[in-house]
Amino acid sequence: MLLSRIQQTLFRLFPLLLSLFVTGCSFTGRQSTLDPKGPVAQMQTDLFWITVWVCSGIFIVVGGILVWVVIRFREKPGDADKPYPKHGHGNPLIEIGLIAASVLLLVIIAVPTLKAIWATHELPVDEPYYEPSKLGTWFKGDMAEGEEDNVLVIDAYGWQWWWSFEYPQLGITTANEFVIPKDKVVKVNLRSMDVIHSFWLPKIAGKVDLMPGRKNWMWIMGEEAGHFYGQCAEFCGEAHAYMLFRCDVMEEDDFEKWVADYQAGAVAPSGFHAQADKDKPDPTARDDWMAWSNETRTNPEVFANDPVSQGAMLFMGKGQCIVCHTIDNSIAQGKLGPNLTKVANRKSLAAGILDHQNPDGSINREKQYENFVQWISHSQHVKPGNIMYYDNPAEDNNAGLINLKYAGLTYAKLKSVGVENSAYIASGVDDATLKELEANPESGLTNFLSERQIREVSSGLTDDQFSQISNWLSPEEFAYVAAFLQSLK
Amino acid sequence: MSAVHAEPVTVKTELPKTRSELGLIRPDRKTGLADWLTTVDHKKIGIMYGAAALFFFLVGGVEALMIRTQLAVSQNDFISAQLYNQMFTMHGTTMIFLGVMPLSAAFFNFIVPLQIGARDVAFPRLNTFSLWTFIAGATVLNISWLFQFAHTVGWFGQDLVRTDIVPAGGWFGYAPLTSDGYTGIGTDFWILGLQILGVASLAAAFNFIVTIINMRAPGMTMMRLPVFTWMTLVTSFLIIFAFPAITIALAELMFDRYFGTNFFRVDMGGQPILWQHLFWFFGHPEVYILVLPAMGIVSEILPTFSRKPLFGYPIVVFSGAVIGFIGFAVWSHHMFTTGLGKIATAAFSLLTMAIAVPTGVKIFNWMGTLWGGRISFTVPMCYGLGFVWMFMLGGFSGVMHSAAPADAQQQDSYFVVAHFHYVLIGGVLLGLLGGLYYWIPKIYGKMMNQKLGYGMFFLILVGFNLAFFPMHYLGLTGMPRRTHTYLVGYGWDLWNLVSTIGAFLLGIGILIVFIDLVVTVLSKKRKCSADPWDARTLEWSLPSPVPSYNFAATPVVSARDCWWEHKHGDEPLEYVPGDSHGIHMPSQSWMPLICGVGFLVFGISMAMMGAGVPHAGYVAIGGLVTVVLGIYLWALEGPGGYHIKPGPENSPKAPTPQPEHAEANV
Repeated sequence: MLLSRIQQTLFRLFPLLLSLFVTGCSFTGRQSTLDPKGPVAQMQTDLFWITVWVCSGIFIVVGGILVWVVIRFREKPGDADKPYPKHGHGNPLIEIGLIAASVLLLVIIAVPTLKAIWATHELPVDEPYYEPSKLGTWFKGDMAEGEEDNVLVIDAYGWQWWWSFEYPQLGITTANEFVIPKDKVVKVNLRSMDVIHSFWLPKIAGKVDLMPGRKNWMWIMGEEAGHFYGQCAEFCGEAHAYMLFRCDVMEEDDFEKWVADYQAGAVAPSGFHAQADKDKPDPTARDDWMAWSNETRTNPEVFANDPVSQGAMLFMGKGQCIVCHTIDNSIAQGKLGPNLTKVANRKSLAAGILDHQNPDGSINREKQYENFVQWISHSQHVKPGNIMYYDNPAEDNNAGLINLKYAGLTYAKLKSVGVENSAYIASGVDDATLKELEANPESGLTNFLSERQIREVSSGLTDDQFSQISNWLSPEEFAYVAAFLQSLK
Repeated sequence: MSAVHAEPVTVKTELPKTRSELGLIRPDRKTGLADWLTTVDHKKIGIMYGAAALFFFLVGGVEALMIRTQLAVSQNDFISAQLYNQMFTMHGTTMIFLGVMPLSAAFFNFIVPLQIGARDVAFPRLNTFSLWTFIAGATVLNISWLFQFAHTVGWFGQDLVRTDIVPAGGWFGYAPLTSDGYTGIGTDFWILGLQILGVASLAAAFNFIVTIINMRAPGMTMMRLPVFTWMTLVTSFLIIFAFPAITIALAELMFDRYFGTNFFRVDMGGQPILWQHLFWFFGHPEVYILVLPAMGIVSEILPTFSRKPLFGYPIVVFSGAVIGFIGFAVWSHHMFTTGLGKIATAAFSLLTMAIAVPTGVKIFNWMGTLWGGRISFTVPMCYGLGFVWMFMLGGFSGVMHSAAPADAQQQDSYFVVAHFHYVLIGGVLLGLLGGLYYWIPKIYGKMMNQKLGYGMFFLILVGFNLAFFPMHYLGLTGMPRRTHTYLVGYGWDLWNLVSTIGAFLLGIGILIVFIDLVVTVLSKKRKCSADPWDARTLEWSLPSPVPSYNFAATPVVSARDCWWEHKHGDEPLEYVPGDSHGIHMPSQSWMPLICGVGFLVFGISMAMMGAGVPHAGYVAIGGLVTVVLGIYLWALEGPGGYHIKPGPENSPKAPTPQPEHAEANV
């Protein structure tokens, strides 16, 4: 009675669920493993489907029999009067037969598994995938000399929570988005800079971990030009969900152009060009940057009305961005953050969270500008825990922009933006200390208060007020930096 | 019937109260709280294990629902990234160590001595020690929530500035993320809590091995043991071989964090990969530690309600042992993506496929048990059949993972989450709930509400599949696990929402089952007979609830399923005549509780030491001294004990001619 009602409900629910499933499922999503675009992912998906077919076969047979058994041997009215079912204790022949059948079915999976393990663990030497990469012949740049027939190498570095991609043969470093030539085997060396990460680019290849202290590698190949999405697949701390990356698979010609463009480095702001002289009739981008750098020191007022130059000066100077970031050729050579050369050519920011790609693949410049402003001025909201704005009062190594915010605060400056003594008392500052503060209004607050107290006292201030009294950048200055970053293309 | 059952009255003979050399007297026959705190009765200990397990199931369930609520829509900000990480860390740790394992332990404790015809477990006080040590470890782990709450509302004032008080390194605790450079004192709570829980598990496992080997009633040969008892034995062996690995790993991690050793510090030449080998050498057998007891329960339920013995008993037992054995040879399949190299990858791939064979054998034999039977769809039977179905699905996705290259796409994706929840909920939890419905009439002499039972089984099954089947799809389309949110545009929104709805249905179903359980326990109306299922094994020969001394007279076993043979076959149970002084009962003891308190103090103050609280290290030493003192006094507190002579009202009942059905008792 109850059972039949359950059955009826199930029968009614099933078509509903099935239709939901069919309409709700797309197997070509951004990170679908079922839509392979390269030989490694193809092998892995093929193997997956073999396991699916074998398991489905078993499921239909075993499940079917199970349903039949449960229906056929259910207790029927009147059974209670009959003798109990025959007491059998098993049948060795059936057991052995079923074990043998299971082993045979597993062999169907095991053989292609072994094949695929070898294929994915060794650089391919056979047709169809391997053609000598011809790096030396198809790429005409100087860097490639002596690299003939060697496979293109990319060193992928995992950081909490972003990616750095270096091309050691080409002298290129990029971050969070990298480029590979279509139909070429690429060897990716996987190195972690802190905890364990995992490199997963589902449509191109399954994952391999970046294991600190170990030299893992994998090979990949893209067989279709396009923009592919990947992300870190090993839990790596607070913002693990925000450690995304992207890969452009390009036709060879496009890749060559990309490399040449990247190697030229960033252009100095305002199209600044160093003067040719007889020692260097053809100045390099680096010369331009050095000339620009000298000019900012000697003649800063020249740049007064140009947001890009203003931004560049903030980047190199007050904003301290160069402590962590590199822009190739420029004086910015920090190694702790993403390389920002050509950052404006990337289709996303902050390891893939802030996207500014149009549906046609081009870059939406307005959106990009917004993203730059949002990311540099509010990075702690976009990606909690990131060290560009590392705000953990429990530790001494607070880094990046947070230091700007509290640097140079004094009693007098706080008073000028309306912080009264009551705020100090509320933060647990005792009277004696407060008296000392009043006596020394121009002395830095760090001489008297703990870091936590300074934060408490100033917690009511807006970013704008901070920019008036500390080294924190004003909204206008953040906009300049964003404008400069957007010029890096 | 032997003469023992004709004893006219219950006579209790007190032995003279003997003080030990230290002047200690052991308590006995107290009522109320002191009785529960000092009891050495395996049945009461089992009930306390069960109560703790159900409580922590609810805690872990709330954590799960927080996770699912956060993931219901993309870029949700219901909880922060850090809190989310704490939620999934504590959800996994709680469900495994504080939910499933103690619920299994509850059944081990209550059922195994009854199934083998024993008076108690081999070491009753060690059994109590396991319980209180378990409670201590569980408290250490979960008290971090209290500390975090206190910190959030500002009870610690201005100077304590830690924000990561609850463990957030995942239940797997991979170094170097769990090293001191990356996580705070949450990891200390986690290390200490798990270490203490390990002590509890090891003590319990040794106890059950000795009990099952030594305490069987006459004639209860190994190949006549009920399958549940067999699986308890295998599980206990798995525990004593697997837990030392995680004990070592946790100790090394603790040394790294507290004393500056370099086991896992990469910059000092440490090897994080070592953690993974040690952890999974424990972690994979742990999966079987979780699932084998449930398999044992199902192997009891299916024959009972098919009215037919288990098909291929020897091979079911043997395959259980083989699963346990091969379970130690497949740990690296959790590490296919860590760069094992092709040889190791291939070897672990093939071994993982191999373990599917004994698992398949069990399924075939369960079907063989059903075949030709007379299947009555009681609530436990529904859970048993649900187990077979759902576990089969989880097994299939397991085979899919065993193909290492395919696993490279599935590892750490929601496909894996789907897989192990099919094993752990579809398998283990359904099995354990089946066990609850099956044995509660024995434990309390009362019947849970069966109509509600059918409804909730249906709700749990639907909710579970709605929650976890879509995760296969999510994983295959690239959604990684342990991510606190996901961006728009990946096509994961719809099925995450469906999954969340399913999770809430599942949660409601389980909650109602638990409420009904509590109502049943408190109710005075739902009484049932001693053998309401017309079951097969020895525990059903006893009155319900089971008297404190278990068997008035030790039965002599002459067949597998001896109670069934006694009722319906031609092998009536005989009983060994009792001693003239009656049954010897042990006195109770405070010492195991003292040890538990010592562990609690030790664990919390070690974590405090990690947080830099002054003098916490000395308190931790004090905690350890308390443990040692408890064990020392325990050895010296003297034998105690008293004699008891059961009367006829407590002797084994003669079989009822007509088996009573569950419906009749509602």
